[in-house]
Amino acid sequence: MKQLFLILILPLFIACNDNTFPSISNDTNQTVIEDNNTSEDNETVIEPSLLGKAQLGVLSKATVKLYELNKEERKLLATELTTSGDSIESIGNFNLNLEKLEDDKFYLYEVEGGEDYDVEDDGVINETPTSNTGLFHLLVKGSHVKTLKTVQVTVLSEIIYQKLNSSLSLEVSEIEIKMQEFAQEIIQEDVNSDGFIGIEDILKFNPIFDKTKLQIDYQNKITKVIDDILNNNSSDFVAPVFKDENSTIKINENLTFVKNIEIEDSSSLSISLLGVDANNFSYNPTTKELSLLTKADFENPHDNDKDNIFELTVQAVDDYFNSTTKVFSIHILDVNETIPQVPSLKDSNLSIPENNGSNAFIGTIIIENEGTSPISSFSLTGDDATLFTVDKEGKLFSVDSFNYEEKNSYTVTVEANNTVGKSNLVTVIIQIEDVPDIKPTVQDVSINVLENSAIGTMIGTISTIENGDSNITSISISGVNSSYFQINPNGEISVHAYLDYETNTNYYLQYRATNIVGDSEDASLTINVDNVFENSGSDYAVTESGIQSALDNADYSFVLTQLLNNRDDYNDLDDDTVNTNIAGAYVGSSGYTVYDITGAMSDGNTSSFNDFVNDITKENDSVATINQLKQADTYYSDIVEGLDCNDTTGLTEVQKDACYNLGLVRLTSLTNSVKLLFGGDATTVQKWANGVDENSSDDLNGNTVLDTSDASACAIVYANDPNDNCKDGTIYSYRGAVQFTNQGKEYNLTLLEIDVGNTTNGYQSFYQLISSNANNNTPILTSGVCDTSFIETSEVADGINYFPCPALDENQDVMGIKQSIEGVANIQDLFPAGDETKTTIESYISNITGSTDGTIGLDNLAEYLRTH
Amino acid sequence: MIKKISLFFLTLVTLEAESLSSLVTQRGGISNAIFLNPAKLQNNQNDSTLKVDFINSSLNLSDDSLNFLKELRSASSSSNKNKEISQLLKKNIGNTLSFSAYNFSSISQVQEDLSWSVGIVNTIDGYFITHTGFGSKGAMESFIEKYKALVTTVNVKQEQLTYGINIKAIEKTQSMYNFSITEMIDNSSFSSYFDNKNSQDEQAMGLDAGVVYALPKDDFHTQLSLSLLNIGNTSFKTIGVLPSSTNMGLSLAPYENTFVQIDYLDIFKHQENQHFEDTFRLYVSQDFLSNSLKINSGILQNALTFGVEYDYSVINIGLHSYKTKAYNGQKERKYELSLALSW
Repeated sequence: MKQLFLILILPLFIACNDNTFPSISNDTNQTVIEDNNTSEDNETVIEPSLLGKAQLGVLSKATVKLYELNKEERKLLATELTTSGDSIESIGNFNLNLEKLEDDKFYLYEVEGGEDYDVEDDGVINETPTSNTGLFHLLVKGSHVKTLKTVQVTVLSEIIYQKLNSSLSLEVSEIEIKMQEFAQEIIQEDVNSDGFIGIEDILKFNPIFDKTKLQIDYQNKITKVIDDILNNNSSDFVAPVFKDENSTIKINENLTFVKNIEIEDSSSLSISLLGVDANNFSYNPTTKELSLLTKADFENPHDNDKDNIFELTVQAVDDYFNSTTKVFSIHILDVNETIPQVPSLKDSNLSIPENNGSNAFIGTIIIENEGTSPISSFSLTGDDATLFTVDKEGKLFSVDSFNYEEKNSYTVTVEANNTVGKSNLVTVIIQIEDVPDIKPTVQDVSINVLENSAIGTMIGTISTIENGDSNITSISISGVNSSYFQINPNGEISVHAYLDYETNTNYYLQYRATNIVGDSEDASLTINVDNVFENSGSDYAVTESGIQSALDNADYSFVLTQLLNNRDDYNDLDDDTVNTNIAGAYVGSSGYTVYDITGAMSDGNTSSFNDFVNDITKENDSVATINQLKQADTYYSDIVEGLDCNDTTGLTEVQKDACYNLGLVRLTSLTNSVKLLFGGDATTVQKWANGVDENSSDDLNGNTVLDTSDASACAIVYANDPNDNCKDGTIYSYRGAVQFTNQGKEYNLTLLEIDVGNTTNGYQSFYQLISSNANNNTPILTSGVCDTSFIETSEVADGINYFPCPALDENQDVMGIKQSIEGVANIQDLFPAGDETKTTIESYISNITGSTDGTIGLDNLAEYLRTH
Repeated sequence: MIKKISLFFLTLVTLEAESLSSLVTQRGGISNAIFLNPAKLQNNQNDSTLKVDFINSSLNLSDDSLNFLKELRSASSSSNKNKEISQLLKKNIGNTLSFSAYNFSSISQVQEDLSWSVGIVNTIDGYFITHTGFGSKGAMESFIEKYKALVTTVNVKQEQLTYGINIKAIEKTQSMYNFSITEMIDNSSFSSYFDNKNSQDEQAMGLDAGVVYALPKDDFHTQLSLSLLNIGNTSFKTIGVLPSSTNMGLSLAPYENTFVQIDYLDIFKHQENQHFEDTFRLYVSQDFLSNSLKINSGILQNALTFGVEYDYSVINIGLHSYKTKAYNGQKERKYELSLALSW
């Protein structure tokens, strides 16, 4: 828009401009510049039609010199300054001095210095001008200037001048012709619209509007030329030149190098390879070498038409876009390729197991190309060369054995020879392979382990084994008790048996390790067992406290062993103390602590027979319990013999405790006897429970179910008086005699069938053994069922599997209830008179046995069962 | 019947706390430090005013004892308590239930050159072991020791050295008794426990001496100490001896409000069966809240100790835990509650 505005106002401006130009006062040898602004008297008004303009952009106050040219000589005709101003139109103007020009001569307007107010050539005044430090010219024939009256000194006129500079010695007409040629070379579009591209287009060229009318190369070039002018640099207007005019090149096949292509130019060059065969070539701008990418092969042409002639165009373009091209023909020549060749070898890696011995074959050196004659010999060099030999086939041999552990790699340099010459030098590396040949070594080891460590516990790892040169396959332990330990190939030792510090504190063993080569020497393996305080065995002090600790730890066998077999070790203890602790161990063995008994006593209703029995007996084995308690009874009885436990005055603490504890033991024994007698299997007869009438004669023991205990109760009644029918409605029947044999001893027993029930619910049969001889007519305490050792002596039973099994005492005798009850009679007398426990015990005795006077017998129990 | 068993235990644990502990400094630190080194009287206060420790008491219980009491409380409130108490006693067969308590009431004055203290110490240590009941040691074994002592302490300071002695007049009471189950059931009171034939009293005089060397111009306030306790043994005839021991220690304050004390006791092994863990003690404390809150930790009997003390006005309340050896040689963790009134 701004440019359009300038175009519109330019004629007006020119018409109206009263701008004044610097006038030229001139004589032949001197030019005087007068500033019209300051010297109005000498003011020279330039007719606008005679205007010259210095325009790189527009240059203010540039010096313009007018020379007359005669061949290469110059004659200064005038000097003046370009105008200043505030617009494109007003800046850069100067007087063409037409009056000094002759038509047939060439003149030169030379512009120097000044300030460029439109350095971008965009028609807009720059706020800050750019200083011009260089020169530029307009070479023009006088007639042309006079005809046109307005001309521009521009970058285009400078380019034309530079191109003609070397031709100024020519005749005017010749110069004019060249000038015309250059105009047509540079300008592509008519500048002055006269329908013809020629010299006048040069003179009328305005860089603001006409840049695009130049050939494209020059559109790019003028910017660089302007820059050179402003900075007083020389520009390059000469195209690159190929130094060698020869365009035909011939090379032998098997080569890649073609030729050095040298191109001269004052600026740097850009080289392009063009043409159908260009892809086969490369050009190195540094070395100037033109090369084929692959070796030329006459027999196998690579060029496009396969005629062994590559067609290649090389184009050189300089920084000023001056370009030159040259076409080359590269001819590939055939050569005789059967020339003599030396051998060619390759690097090799060979290997051999150690311990190889002398003259052992290692491997063959790799021959890449034998050459044109057979290889006659190989030679070895290098530090390791003396350790090897090589034959003429390249086979490498050892001089001596190698030892992997000493050195496992050797290197030699190898060369081969044929009649042509020596091969390349190659490196051959010989790796020595390891072969197991070293046995393991072991060192003495000591390991600590806690006693009682669980079987399989890893107690340590032997880390002092040197494997040799192969893995350990096994480690073995030897010595006394070596079987107590196990060791794996990793050296991990684990416990294989129970270790007891009190038995053995040290195990002195040997071990050896084995690998594929063989066994190591033996080394000692000492395993020290560390003590763990176990509160058992020898950890217990040999004192009363030690015994007590063992009792507290339920280590009853220890107590019994110590006090029964090692009594002498406890001389500090009197007999009563010893016996108390023995009895305590037996009670403990039976499963009772004092708290079990007192807890049962204190908890239930003292009249509840079943609660007490169940609470105190629970899941125990009554037969074993009775036997253990009987042993305790013996030792407590020994203490209290002859003592009046009812009156503890004067008794020792041990004696008092023995009285009391004996009472508890007998109470517990009695209770277990009752349990054994009445301990029926409730689930077997559960169906009876629903129909039980507690007041019926069947529920003899009042436990609200009808079960074997009722049958047992009836048996007690029967045993006490065979004519007694228990209670009304209860049926029992005699099933006859059976014989029970135990360890050769015969027991003749009576088998009762007792049918418990009523007509509503039916009846269930139970069986009970009664002894009428060995145990003085008493029901036999039974446990479970027996199916062996019975001989039926009369009548056929319903089945022997129903027979109960007699309980056996510690003497392997059958155990009867009479015996059991009478053995614990009168235990209330073991408690001090007035003692609260005594009262409780008496209540229990009464409930269990039916005795109210301390005289407990089978009749008491029978009476109780029959009447309650 | 068994209901009385619980009464027995409740009676024991509510016995008046009246002991000095054996001596007192199990958990380490500066409290009652004169019983480890009589020259450390000055550690307890830092001005010359007369100081009265009206009460300086503590009560401690073992792990097992604490658990036992918790379960006893639960069993006692059960509808089936007699049976549950019996089961609790059965469960604790072989366990040592222990407690100890002490009090040290004193009056003291610390001055630049001469310091003194007079105090009365009471300690009691009780151990109870539940047995199966059918052996010769009955259903429960008991061992109780009491000490009453009048302790006079004098310190003399000469530059970096402080010398001190304790002169102790001590009465020891020892009671050992095995309760049968019938006694546990039928005896209704243990108030006469120390007044029967099972109890024995003895008196003795004891002497301790010690010296503390404070390193001069030491930013860490390092002190080296050496003490001879119960010089020549303090014998109570048939009921025991407080054996002589030579002890050394190092204390320092590496940071502000931080205190470290290391003791090596009985250097010359006067007591039998001493192990390193019996003789080495480490104590570290850090004060907070203008020294009113003290948190401490350390090593005793090869086990960690920890505790906290809080000062409010004239009251000091502390809670500590540490392991010690019971009279039967078994190590047990104890929890100690302490209360001190001083001004």
